[in-house]
Amino acid sequence: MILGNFTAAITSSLWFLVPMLVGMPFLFLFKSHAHTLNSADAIDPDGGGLDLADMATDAALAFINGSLVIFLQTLAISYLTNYNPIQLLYPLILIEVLIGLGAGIWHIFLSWGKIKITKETIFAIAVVLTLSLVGFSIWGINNPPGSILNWDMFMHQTTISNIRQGGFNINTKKISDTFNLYSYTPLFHTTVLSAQLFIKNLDIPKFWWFTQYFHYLWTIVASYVIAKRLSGRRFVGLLAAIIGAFVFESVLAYTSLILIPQTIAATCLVFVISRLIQNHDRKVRHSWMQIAWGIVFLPLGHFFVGTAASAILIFSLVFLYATDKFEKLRARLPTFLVVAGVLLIPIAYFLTQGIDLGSLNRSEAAAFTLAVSEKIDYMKEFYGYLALVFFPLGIFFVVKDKSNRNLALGAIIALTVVAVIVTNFPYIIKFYTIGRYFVHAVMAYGIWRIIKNFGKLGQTISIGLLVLMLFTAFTINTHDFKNGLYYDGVASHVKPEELAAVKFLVENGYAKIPDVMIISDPTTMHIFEGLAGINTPGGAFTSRETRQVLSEIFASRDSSRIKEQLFSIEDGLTGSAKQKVLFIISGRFSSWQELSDGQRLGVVWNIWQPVDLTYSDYEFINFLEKNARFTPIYKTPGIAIYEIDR
Amino acid sequence: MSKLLNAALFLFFVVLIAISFYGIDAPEDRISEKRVKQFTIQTYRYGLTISNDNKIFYNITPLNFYFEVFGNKRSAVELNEDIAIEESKTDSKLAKLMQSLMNSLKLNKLVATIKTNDQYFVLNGNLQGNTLTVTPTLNNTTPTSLAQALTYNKGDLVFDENMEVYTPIDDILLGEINSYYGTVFKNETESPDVTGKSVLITNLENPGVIQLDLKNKTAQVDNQKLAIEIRTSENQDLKLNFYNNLAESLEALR
Repeated sequence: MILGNFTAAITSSLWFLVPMLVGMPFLFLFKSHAHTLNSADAIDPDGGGLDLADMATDAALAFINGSLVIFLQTLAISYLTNYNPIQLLYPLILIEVLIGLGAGIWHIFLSWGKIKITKETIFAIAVVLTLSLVGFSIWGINNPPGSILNWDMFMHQTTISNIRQGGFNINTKKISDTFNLYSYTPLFHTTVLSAQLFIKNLDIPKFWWFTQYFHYLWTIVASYVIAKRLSGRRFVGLLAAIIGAFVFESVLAYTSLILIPQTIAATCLVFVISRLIQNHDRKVRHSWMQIAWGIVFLPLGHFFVGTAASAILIFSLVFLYATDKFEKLRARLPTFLVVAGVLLIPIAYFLTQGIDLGSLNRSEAAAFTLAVSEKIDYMKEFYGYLALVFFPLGIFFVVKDKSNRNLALGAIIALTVVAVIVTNFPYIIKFYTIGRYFVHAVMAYGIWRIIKNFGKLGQTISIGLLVLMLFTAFTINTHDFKNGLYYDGVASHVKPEELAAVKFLVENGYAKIPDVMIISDPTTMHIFEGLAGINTPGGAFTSRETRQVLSEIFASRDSSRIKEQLFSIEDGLTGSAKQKVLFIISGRFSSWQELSDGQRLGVVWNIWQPVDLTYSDYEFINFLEKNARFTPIYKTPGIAIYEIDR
Repeated sequence: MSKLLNAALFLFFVVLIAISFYGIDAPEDRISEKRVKQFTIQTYRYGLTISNDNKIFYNITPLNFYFEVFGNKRSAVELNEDIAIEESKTDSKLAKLMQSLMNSLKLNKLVATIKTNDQYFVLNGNLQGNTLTVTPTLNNTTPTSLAQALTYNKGDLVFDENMEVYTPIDDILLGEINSYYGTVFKNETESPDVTGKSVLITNLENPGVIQLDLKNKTAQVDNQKLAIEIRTSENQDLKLNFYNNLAESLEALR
């Protein structure tokens, strides 16, 4: 068990390491790594030496380069050759990883003696690691390795599996019908796939569980890096890391604890901007290739969040150049824009209140269009009143300390994102994945300005109180997030019995049978498609027609029609029915059937909590076996699977 | 001057953190809760309650307990409007937050104290694995001649390990249940006295089974009050085991 978890932890880190190593040579090629910052790299505002921020930014930029390379070469192989990209990708990525490893070692060899890792750097690393372990341990309460709290993970894994089987397409909607909206390319999926290619006997739930940890760690590091770069203070970086570690936006944004395309795009942006600021501070020329790759990478990673990220990146570049070049601008523009940013918030709110967004706010979108009062309630869940207290205070100090151009940039980005978030567009909180890093940096600056002269004891007590407050909010918030997902004392979308059923299907080769489709309630389809790699008609995002048919099957119980009804369900990708159906009845089936018509036929409501079979299910099972004469191929108190041929 | 300023700033910072704390959402009631199998065990206004996905509730409350001496029954606690467990009476925001935090960190205790003018009636729930032991104490001593009760719900199936069913159910439905679940439930006894060494409760529309251990105890199923009354002359502890489903509980009984 411990060995299994250890192996899973190590292999899960490949999701970051493989793209990073693939991208490493490009980092040196583009000369965008920290060590090209000449002698200036030894000049650190807090003491000198190679800082955690330098190393982390290098690693993140290499990751961006590698992800993009892997994606582009998959794209090229798919469209230019007749090969299944995986046949070529595996050896290609292996070679690239080895080259990257060699380049990294060679770089360290060349820099040996020049790289100075200071006590401060070790302290920063220790703090960040401790925060990640404490935070993730809280997240891990009732959520042990292998349990799944990321429902998007299933469709991402489905997409990864489909790409692996040669189903790559630039349009994710053409890879899997679990996507209702084309909001990102499969860049995220090729990145994760590049790691999974190297893992034998992949344990999907554990892979994703441990991957979440590395993602969480990465977001804490990102908080540290951006706050340090903006403020020029390691202390402020550490305060932002503390805030970042204990703030989880448990609605729509999910930045720190859920690995999805939007959270990757936002976190990558932070590192690119960090390097921009570092270059400007040290008067080092930018690597234009690196910037260009960043600008391309971000929208490919997520059309909405990534495009906003690219726009922020371009704005930052212009802002930094303008304020560097023109002294007058440097003196006035930052403060002017921060004040304008403050005014933008009420303007954005009142302007959008007058616009009719009815055409946008339909179906699922309507459920994720939140009133300002709801947003404030969520803010309280994430922060208590910490953001409401320290963000304005931070802004106040940024305006007061006119000399800090970089902090002003952070504040402008933070205020702009907050202004966007107060509008009444659907899903708008997603943009907070970007905003949170800058908001936290400003908050951290506000805290630092108050406590900076306290002396060691006063500062320790102050930080202790801050940690206690954030720890309480985080613990209660993550606990509430898990509420309603419990089965057998464990919070997870999947119960062991379902994992055993998945194993049964995989071991008996159902995933390899062509023209087979799982049909069940939407959530069961979603989960089984992700874990077993067997096609479903859209998983949790199945069409209204499929939902209608499933409802009719359950309600009418017409044994003479059930087979015809099942085979009338069409695959969302091919638009045709299959030759074989695996009809799964889990406890979720009747729970879903009991929902109101609106909930059952729409995509917002799903039975994400595992449920055992109840009397209603058994009644239906009895009908299937006695009247429709279906024979189960797998049956336990929690699940029954029927194999039906056309 | 600078020391004074720093002291003032420190106080200011403490106040800001206190305000931040105040913003954390606390539940409306101060409830201690633990999860086991398909169930949530919580303290509630009158004692302990066990719920299945917050749909159906099974209560253990001193309000349903009574003392029986030489055939005379006396309520353990008289219901009046003021009655509520002491633990939820302290309903300051800080107390609610602390309770939420303890629940989240699994450091909470399931204790319900009903205080009247002359007595403290305490129910102490101790969850170990999937077994809940509920210990009643009266003024810090073990009460004697106490009849305790566990409520159930309309539509529940209450049966013992001999598969004898104690709740009213028609033969056709029982036949269907036996056919669907592969069980051998029977509906033979007219007596409310449970003859087995344990009594089990399940709800057909919700998964999960509660097993009440009757070792050295006797029990009666009261279909009017929807309660199982438990009497003992020895250890007053109630021991309840929880299972995910019928099959798991029947397997454990073998």
